[in-house]
Amino acid sequence: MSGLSRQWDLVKLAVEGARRTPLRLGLTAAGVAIATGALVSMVGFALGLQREGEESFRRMEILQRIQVHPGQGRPLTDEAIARFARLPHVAAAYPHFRLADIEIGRDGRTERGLAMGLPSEGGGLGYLQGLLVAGRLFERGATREALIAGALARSLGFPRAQDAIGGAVVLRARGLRPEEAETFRYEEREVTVTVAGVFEPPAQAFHLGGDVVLLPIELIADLPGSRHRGALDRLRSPEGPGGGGYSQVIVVAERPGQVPALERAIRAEGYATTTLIGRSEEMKRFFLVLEVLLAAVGSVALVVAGLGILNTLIVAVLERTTEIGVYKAIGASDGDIRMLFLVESLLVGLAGGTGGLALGRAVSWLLGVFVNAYAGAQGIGTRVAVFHFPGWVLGGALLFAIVVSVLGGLYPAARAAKIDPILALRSN
Amino acid sequence: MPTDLTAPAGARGAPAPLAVVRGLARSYAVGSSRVRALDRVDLDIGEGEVVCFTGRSGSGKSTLLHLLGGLDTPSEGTVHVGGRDLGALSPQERALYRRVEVGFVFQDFHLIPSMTAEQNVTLALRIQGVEPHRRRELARAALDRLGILPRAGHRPGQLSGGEQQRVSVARAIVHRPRLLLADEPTGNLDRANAEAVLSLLREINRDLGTTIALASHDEDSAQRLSSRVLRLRDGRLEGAPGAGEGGDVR
Repeated sequence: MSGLSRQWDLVKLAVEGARRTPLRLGLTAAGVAIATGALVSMVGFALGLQREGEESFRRMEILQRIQVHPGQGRPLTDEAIARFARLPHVAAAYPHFRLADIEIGRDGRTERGLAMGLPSEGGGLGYLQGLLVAGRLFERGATREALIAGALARSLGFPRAQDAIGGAVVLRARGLRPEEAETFRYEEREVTVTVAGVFEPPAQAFHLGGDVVLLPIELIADLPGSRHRGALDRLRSPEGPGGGGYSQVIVVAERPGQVPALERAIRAEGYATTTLIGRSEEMKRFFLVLEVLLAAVGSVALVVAGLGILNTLIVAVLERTTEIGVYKAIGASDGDIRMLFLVESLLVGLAGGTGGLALGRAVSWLLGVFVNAYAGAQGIGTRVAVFHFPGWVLGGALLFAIVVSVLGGLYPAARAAKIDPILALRSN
Repeated sequence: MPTDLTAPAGARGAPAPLAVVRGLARSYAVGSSRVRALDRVDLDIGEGEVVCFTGRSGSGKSTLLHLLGGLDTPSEGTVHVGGRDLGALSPQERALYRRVEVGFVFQDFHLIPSMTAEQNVTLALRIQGVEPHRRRELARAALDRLGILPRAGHRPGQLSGGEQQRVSVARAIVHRPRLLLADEPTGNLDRANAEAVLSLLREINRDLGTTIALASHDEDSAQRLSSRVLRLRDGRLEGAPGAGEGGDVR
């Protein structure tokens, strides 16, 4: 006789005991399954939202960008940009141009859009590569190319994205152009550019809409209206018009982790900076609170299911009092009896927990399908992953279900173990 | 001499006693008062002996069997079985004692309804941790000895009272205990079945040398089966000092 074999036989006896009341234990396990499913779904929902938010930040390289503004007596000149570009771990540094209300025309069609400048060489364009649905990024040194949003391409009469590649569009820009000293000149200019690529901005990219046209910096800098903000700033600057410079410069770090050090270095030069790192931390805190709240709601459901196990096993102990007496008479110890019922509760937890994971995944999948179908109907083409189930959530939920179930079984098991065999054998 | 009356029949001369009971008392709290179920019992049971306790309901027969079987602990006095002081054992040790040394037969059979006859018999071996193949072999041998092997696959509900009690006896002897305790084993059986069960117990005692302590109302049957019949009245063995007349009726 071996101790292990004896323990294993006790486990098998517990399983056989559990199989005697399949409906009752099945319903109890179903309660655990529903609670576990709810817990998993709710936490998975919060994690899915968080991942969607963080993923879009990551994809758009938003967390790697530092917006640099002129400081007191520190204009953002080309020399300053060149200095930023030489700082360690800088992927790109370029002036920020934004030209609202530009006209984009082709074959008699005219659309209004937003032009933004991007460097035609070097880093800082990596994220755009992933958004391209046709064509390519700017060629090095290109000054007459454009990247246009898919929606804009369609508005301009290109049925498919590929059809726009190599096509010519006319840009009409009007606005103030700064001249020497303190004077501005109103100007209107028309430039023909070739469409090099078409991109589909993701739903979460708030700065890249469907009406955006991206132009090489050299081109947009030369369009009227693109520098009037900088010129106005220059007029307001105590340094006077001679200070010169841009209203904003974008410095792109190689990785988000390098942003704080870079930001410190730039600030040390007397410039003002803003980043979205802080916003990202706030977002993380928000999602953490959401996850804890939803997990708490799910846990309450699981605790209620644990009470169900407690109730079921108390009834089982009452029903099997005589049987417990027999077990004790033939040599089962109090510990053996306790184990029989604890194993039973563990089985309920295991079955309910596993079923709950499957249920949670199934419900989440259905909701995901529904949400995406609805999003599709609303014109949002990008697929949204509403739920996210990392291994630790699934493993943790299963473990929690088992722990709650075993806790629910502790009292009935202790009660069964304490049964006086003499009274139990009389209770027939 | 009272001590003679409660000594083993064999001798009263022969082998060393398996069970030695001295000054045994058991009392229970009932409401605010205490009921003395057993009172100052002295008794020796020889190895291989068959002892029958008779007496009216409430006389303490079952209590004595429970104390001999380690299901209960004395309020006073001692019970030694095989040299072990049962009152000094921990609950775990008493469970082990019951598992290895004792077999119980109950008036109500107490078979597990959801298990077949064979499964009920192997239950005792499972609690011991005997390997499946070996326990099946032992269980079938025990059922065969009791003439019930053809019903091995039947559940208690499909068996007659006599058959159920045979299964119960098979469960009690399957692990070859030194002490078989039978509490009114014929109490729920008709005459024929009662005779058959008693005859089987006698065979077990003869063939396996198992010591048997039996509690029964039926004095005739007890006398036919037992080497010694002891009468209990109000928790005391008759013939013991202060217990009035009688005692060993054989």
